[in-house]
Amino acid sequence: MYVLAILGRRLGQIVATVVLVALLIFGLMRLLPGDPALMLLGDRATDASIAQMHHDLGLDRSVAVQFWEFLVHTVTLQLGDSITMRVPVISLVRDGLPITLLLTGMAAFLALLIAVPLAFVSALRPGSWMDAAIRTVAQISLSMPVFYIGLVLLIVLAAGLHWFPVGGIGNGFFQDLYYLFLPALTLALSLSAVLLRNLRQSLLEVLNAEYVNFATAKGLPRRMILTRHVLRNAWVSTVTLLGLNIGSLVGGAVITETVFAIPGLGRLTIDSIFARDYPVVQGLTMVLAIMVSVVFLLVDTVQVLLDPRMSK
Amino acid sequence: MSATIAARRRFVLPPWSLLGGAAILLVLLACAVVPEYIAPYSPTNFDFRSLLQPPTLAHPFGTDNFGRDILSRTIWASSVDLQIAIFATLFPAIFGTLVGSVLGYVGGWPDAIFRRIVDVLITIPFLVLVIVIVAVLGPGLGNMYIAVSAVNWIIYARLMRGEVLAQASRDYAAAGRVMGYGPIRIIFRHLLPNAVAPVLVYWMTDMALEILLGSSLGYLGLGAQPPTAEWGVLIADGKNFMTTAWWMSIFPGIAIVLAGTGFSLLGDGLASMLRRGR
Amino acid sequence: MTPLLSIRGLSVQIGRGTPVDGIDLDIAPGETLGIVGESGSGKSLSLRAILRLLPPQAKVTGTAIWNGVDLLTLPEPDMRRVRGGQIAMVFQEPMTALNPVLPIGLQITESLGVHLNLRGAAAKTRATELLDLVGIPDASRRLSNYPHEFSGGMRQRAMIAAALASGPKLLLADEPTTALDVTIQDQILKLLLRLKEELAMSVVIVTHDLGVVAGTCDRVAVLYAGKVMETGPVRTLFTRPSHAYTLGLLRSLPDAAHARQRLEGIAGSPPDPGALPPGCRFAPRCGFALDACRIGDRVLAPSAPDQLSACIRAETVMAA
Repeated sequence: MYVLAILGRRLGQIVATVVLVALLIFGLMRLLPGDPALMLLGDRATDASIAQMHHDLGLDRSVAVQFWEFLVHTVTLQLGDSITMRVPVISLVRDGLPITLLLTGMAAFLALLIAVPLAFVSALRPGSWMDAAIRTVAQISLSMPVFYIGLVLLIVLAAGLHWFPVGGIGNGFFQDLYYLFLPALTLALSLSAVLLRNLRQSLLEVLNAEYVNFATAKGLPRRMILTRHVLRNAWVSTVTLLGLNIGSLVGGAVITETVFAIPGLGRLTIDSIFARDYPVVQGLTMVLAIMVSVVFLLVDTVQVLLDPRMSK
Repeated sequence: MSATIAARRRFVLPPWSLLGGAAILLVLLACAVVPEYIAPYSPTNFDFRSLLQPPTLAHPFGTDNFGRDILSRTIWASSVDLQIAIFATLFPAIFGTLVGSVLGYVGGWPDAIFRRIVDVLITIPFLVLVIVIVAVLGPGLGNMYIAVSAVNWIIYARLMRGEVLAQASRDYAAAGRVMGYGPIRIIFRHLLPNAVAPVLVYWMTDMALEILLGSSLGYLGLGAQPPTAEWGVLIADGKNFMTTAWWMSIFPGIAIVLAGTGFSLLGDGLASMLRRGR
Repeated sequence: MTPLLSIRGLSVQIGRGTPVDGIDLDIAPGETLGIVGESGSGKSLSLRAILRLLPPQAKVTGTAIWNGVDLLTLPEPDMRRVRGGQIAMVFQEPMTALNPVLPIGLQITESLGVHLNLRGAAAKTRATELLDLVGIPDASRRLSNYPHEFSGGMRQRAMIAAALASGPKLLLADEPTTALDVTIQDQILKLLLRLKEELAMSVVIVTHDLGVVAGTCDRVAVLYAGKVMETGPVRTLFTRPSHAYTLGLLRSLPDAAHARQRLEGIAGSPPDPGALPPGCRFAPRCGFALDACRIGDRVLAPSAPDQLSACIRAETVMAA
């Protein structure tokens, strides 16, 4: 029951944060240069039609009223219409969100698959040549921007060896998995370097913890100590780390989608920025922030379930 | 006590990571300051007799679609990217450190407001926020500095706040209060010098991060604008020639990796030196 | 009587320092031995070295003969049977020595499974008995509790239960009471003594607290800078110390009988294990030191019946 109370409180905090996020985005969008009415009307603009358009868009009301409407619209998922594409923003989200979720989900999964075993190899023999090699590779990938990792993979695996498509997405779920593999790997490589570095450190701490000494002194086999005493604690820090890095994962997805021409929310955001399509930018940024918040809540849940101390 | 004194008296070589990082950065700095003496060709001269040449001895990094030498363009671009490392971090580091130390010491409602701001800003992915701000201000290096500075100081402030909080609970800070010193004196004369080490280390890491961010924005077309040669822009130039002229994108990227590694190593080395000094 | 555990020339080298330097100790069956020393004297390291719990960068040499085998060279699978099964260890900080994310019950039963092949309901029953034995009320219900749900004293009791689960013959206790409140300290020491009798064990207690030794131990070894300074029965050693360092330690204790006497500390601080003084390691801080104290190696020599001292001024010290 404690668990539910804790998560309920966290949910409240997150909702409050999202409202503030909305305020920030709303404020930023009011600062956008150019009059959206002018942009919508283009060459046909007359003073009368501009005034009419201002009224239609609600721009002639007070800022407070506008913000309140923005909030209500966000909650009710009425994100307005795209200026350039003339479709509701929510339908763009409906098309793009599954792709972005699949991409980031695959990336997180691959990153764990890469980082966790390597962190163990590294931390079990600190100072060995394996440790040195793993840390060197991690250091190099830490210094590689996501778009560059993507391009290198594209050049070698797609353009060179023709193992993967150069971009876009497939037709149906399983083809999507195939099309999204390279972009997910791109994101995963960049994320796993961060995970690996921190996980190695926390594993080293756990391995030197007194409870590992006590477990050894009780005569437990090494394998049992690792799987029961070390791994359990390592999961807590892995999940925490993953949560801390969700922002950079989503940021990376924006870039990766651009590099691989994937029609997800990230590329849509960039395209809309260049098109000055501010309802879309506003709506998408909100959706991305909510996505991050949901992950925060998930991480909190897993933490409470994994670490009994949290539920106190 | 005796152990630390003995360690200080002995001459210790700085950690190899510090030396390695410094060496890499010195090379890049030379490229940035005097590219004309280092680059074999002009970075801007078109040479239509050697378009899209693969790497050869004459052009180790190959040439681009206008016949420009990519090695020379990469060298000339160093100055822009090193500038990014400095200009994108200078204000955040200084302002964030000051704000963080005051917040950590004063606490109360300013601190509560600050924690709310942090909550909000970690909810919007850093890159997305910077991109949106750049979109509002318009693409370009100057606006990118403003966008990054507007967000990035929070990270320094948070780091510094935590450090100061930890230091303020120690006895010497209490001793300062007992002595009747004012908060300004306690913060800036006593707490800040003791808490600033992690911030210095993070600054180095952050320079690497900002080069990555700057080149990403350059790649997207929101950062440095062509014809300014910036590593990310150079890579973007090569994207359309990915299948035919891979060298156009690959080589400028190596410069980014090099710069990132240089700053990270410097940060790591600094960290282990500070640990040893304690 | 043949000793249960016989330690000869035990040394621990870490980097350039030698924090434990050639320790000889015998532990008799049924005996309680106290090892006292200041922090950094090498007392905890020696204890951990016996069970080979030190990280690989610590080089351990010497012998520790147990049941006719040398624990320091025993193959790892055999060593595992000794740990917990024959020699158990409790640590200073129960909060860090118990795994925070595992229930107490599991941390007891896992040892039962490994050493006694007890699993499932049988292990659970035994674990309940053990918690009961160490004086934790409502034992069966507390098996599913986590360490943070126990008080400090209860945690220490639970750790003792987990350590003793598989019926060891020797218990190594590393500062078992240092982290506890004074009132709890006494209860834990009484518990250890009771368990020692009930389970017919020998006990080694490492501590910096002479009061703990006086109240619980039969024999005591005084460590300084990685070497044994003096050993002997608690009673004679405390009334007539034969090493200047022991005398210094005793004189720095507040004494109810001499309440108005001025407390004497020992001037200076222990040497850095990387830069040890020649001769007797205590000489630079010693009021009895002669020029002869600053050269040569010290060996333990009889100073009284059953009492060994490494002090060349033993007679003068005993007269003081």
